[in-house]
Amino acid sequence: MRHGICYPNDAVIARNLLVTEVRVIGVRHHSPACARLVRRTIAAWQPQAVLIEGPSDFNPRLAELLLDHQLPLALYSYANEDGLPARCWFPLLDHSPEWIALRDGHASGAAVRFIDLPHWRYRTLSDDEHRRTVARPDRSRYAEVSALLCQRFGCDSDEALWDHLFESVESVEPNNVAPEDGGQTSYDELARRLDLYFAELRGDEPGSAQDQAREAQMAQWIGWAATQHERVLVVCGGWHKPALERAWPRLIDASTASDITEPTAPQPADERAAGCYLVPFAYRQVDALGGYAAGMASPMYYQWIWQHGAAAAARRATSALVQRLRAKQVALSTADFIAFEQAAAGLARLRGHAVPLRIDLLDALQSTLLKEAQDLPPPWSVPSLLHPLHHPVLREALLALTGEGSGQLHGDTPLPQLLHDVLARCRACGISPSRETQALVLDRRRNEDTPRARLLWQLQVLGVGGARLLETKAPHAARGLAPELRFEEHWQLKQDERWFPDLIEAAVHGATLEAAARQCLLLKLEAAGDDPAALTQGLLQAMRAGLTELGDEAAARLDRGLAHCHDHGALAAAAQLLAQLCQAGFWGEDARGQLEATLVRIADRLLWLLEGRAGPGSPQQMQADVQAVAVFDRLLPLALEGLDGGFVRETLARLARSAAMPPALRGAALGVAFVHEALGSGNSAPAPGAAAASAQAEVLSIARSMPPRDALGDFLFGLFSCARALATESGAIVQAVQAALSGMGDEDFLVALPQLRAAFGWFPPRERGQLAALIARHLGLDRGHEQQLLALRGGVGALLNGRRIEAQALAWAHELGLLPGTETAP
Amino acid sequence: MNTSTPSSNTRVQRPPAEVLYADELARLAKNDSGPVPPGWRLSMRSVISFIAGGNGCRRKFVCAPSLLERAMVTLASNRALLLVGEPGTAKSLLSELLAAAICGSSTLTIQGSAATTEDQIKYGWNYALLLNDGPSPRALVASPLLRAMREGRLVRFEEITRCPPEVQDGLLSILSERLLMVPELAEDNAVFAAPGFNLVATANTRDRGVNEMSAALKRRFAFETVFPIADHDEELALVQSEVARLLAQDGVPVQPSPEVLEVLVTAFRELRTGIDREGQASERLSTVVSTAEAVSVAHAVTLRGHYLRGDAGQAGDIVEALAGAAAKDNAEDLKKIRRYIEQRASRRKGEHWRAFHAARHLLPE
Repeated sequence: MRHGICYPNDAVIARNLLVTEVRVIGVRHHSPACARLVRRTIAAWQPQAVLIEGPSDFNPRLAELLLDHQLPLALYSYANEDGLPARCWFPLLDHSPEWIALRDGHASGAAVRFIDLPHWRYRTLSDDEHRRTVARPDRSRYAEVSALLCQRFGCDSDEALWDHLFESVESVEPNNVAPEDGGQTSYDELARRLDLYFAELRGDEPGSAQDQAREAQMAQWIGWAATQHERVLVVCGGWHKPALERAWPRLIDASTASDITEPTAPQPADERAAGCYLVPFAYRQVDALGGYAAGMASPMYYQWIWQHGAAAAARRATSALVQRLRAKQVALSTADFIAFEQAAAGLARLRGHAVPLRIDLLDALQSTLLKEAQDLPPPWSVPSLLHPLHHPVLREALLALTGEGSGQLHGDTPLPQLLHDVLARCRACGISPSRETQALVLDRRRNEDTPRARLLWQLQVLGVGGARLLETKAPHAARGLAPELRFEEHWQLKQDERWFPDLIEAAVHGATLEAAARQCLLLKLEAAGDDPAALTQGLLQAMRAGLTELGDEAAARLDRGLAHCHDHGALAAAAQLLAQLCQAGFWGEDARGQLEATLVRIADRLLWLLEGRAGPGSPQQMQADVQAVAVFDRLLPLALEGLDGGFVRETLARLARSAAMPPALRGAALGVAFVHEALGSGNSAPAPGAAAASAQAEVLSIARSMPPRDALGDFLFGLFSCARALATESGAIVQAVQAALSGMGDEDFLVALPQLRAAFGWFPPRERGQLAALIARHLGLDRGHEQQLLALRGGVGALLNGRRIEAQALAWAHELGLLPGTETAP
Repeated sequence: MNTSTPSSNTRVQRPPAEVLYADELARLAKNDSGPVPPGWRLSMRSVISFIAGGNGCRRKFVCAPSLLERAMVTLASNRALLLVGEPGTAKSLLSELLAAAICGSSTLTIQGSAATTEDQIKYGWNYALLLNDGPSPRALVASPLLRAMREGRLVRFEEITRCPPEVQDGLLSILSERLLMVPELAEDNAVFAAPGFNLVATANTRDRGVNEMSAALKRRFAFETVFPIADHDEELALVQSEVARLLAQDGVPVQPSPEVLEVLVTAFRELRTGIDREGQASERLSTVVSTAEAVSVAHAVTLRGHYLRGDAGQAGDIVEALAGAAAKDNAEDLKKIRRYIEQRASRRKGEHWRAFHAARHLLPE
């Protein structure tokens, strides 16, 4: 898109070159002083072209920036190659020199262009890298020179140095009053200082490879503009200024004038894999991007400088600081206030500032209000982020200067495809998000609610602020229904202030809601790592969001995390849940396809972990063992593709026979192996009856080999968890237990009792009756005595009393710390 | 009353800053063009030059420039300055330099301790004269504080938090009213502080800290935390020059080798911050491993080498000195030092790191 002015034809190009003047203003991002200089230069010099260091892929859409937005905004760029999303933000504030250049340049009728490489080419980072990157790489000269200057001028940090040298140059007028004559000296002085500073910073350093690529692109643009216009203004980061001033004339010398055509921005291989959009930005976000990610510290303070001048900014900052601190209950008396003002004025005088600057105010505040030793130097005096060890008063002080609120996009701003897709899908299923909070109750059993629920879940997966699941319910359902299978979802939907920013930023993950949610979820699963709970959570989300074809891909992402998971209990719980879903499906949807691959991997890992178990371990570990083995009881009938049932059976049988395994694990493995016919005399099964008999014989022999006092209870606990029928259907096991118990002294019996109780706790009352009958027959008791076996001696009152005493004893033990993280046996 | 400052030609073990750097101070005073606060000898800029270097002065103290600026502004106001920090961060040196530059004498000093009484802070009596003449100005024994008030100078109060809080509170009215009453005298019984009077106190964060200080007294102080030197090279250079000065004083003709100092300073910094130079987390010692300790260890290592073996000290000697000087008799810290040497030092390249690692058996069990 061309703005305002016509372009001269080729014939006048050569003539133009002779008279062309290119001025490069090196700026620091968001510096009000630089913004003023840019504004002044455009007004006084009337350039015909204004070239700005900004992503050139945005050039066709510059008109978007000229809409009537409310700042701060950010240019949000993303790249998504091979499923590795990367992104960056380029904030724009009222006092960003780039913003002023764009708006004023356009208003004055100049051709305006962004001339840098697209951000997706060099600036975007994955979220991980965002967290890690602190220092700007490959700019060692920058660091050296800046450290020397800090030392020379007695400044703590880069920021302090910048304010000291540039923002303190007294502006005669706040930004928008046109100066008559008196302003010129201060602008000249500012321009002189900036030139000197940036020339010194860069010197003749070639810069990093990235710098060079960007500067080559920018120089091309400048060369092109120089052949077209007589007055060209370039607004770029100060670091690039010296290099650009050297580069563009060389470019022109090297080619004939007519060779130079308007450069084009590099295009991504896949159009959907990269993009650049405007997002509303909050002051807090600008502050968080401070340092090298091109935000700035204390944006509100600089906003005041820009709007009202440094003196008024100091007054506003003072009152903002005092008000915020008082609101936060910091004792700040009138005397302290006076001392603070005095200290700020004194520091400003000592440092040669006409009015107190940000650093003076903060230093004064620190020296007046903090009445204890600090753990760290204040965050503004060293290149560091706010740390939990920093004094809370300092944190609040910085927040007072950061400012609240965020910008707003003009309604006509184009939005990424994702937002259109979301709107279309909302419309299609009859949901209309608005600024009002809506409550939606969706029933997964109803066909028309399923697409709605999936839509909301997909929004939730993307982390869009406005869609919130309040709870899930299952009214009138069976008591045993797993919470994961609850069918009624209560949602709250509202287009809150994060709705648009979140969706625009989520565009990095894909152009449609489903694709974006899918990728986002896969990333989450990858990050779930070795945490089985997070893993199940992710898979359940996928289920509810209808992202059912994730299957193999999800399993592949989980692989690495699973390899580091050592908690077989948690893994077993996850597997149980998933297996249950696999078996039952999710309200008419088949879950098997999605979960099968994952379950197979979990099963493999569980076998591996079980193999490594040794020694009796804690009660929790015993539970985990039994749970882990029980998973296979559920998995084997499912006949999952990829899970070798034969191998599982053999392994379980081997575990059951191994004397080195903990008794509970042996019992459980034995039970599952028995139920799934893995026992018996090996491969050549003669007759079905004979195999069953030999399996039972093996169970009996292993049970008899258990030391009654120490291991029998644990063993039975494991055995009966999956194979109660062993005890109820034939009397052999009962007889064996009876034999073991009758040989036990009273004391030994008391030791074994809790675990025996736990073991027989698996049986429901009816089966206890069967057991009683078996024992009665074995002991030769009559019907009356058999009844007595089941009756409570002493009645219900005695039982309740016993329970109460036990609960009290356990509570005491807990209180004394004898039962850390206690879990009572079932 | 004359001060007890030695003149520059008498030989003393440790001359005070205003004597040691008399020529620098004189030059600064001569060339001073900035505004001088009332009662001060130098402008603030010159004081900063004197301490942080510049204008022909040697750098005597390493800290963030803003620390000095804030301290200056505080001392020119009606609040007193309290320097807090870990032991060995050279707080006393800073207060000495400030006093020497601002009022030309650093010897008006009160040493705080559990035994400090209010007499030592305010005034006492010459009892012979008191019995003879009764309470008279002649019988009054002025404390350093009283003299500083009369003469418009800075008074230093070392380790203020070691004094009992009720004794500290004796400063309250002096710091706010700038007035000390001597009710025993019949006339002239109010001493008003002359312009230039102020107080620089130091307190360390290890012993009793500033928590027991009364809120009223805290209000009258501006707190400045003095941090260990942030930059490795600066600390190394400082240790080097300080050790050289000490050795010259002892008349020892050798200097520690730069590699030994490098090992020493690196180990001290890593044990102090709990972060090694590769950015990995290790453990920080609970006892103090300050720059001052590093200087004294380096000094000891060199003396040991010179007198016992005839060399300039070896990296292995550091281990023993570390155990003695840094860990004192703290078993936990000894364990941390051992772990540090085993886990970190063993992987460093270079002969001196190897020697350092090889000497780990010298750590007491």
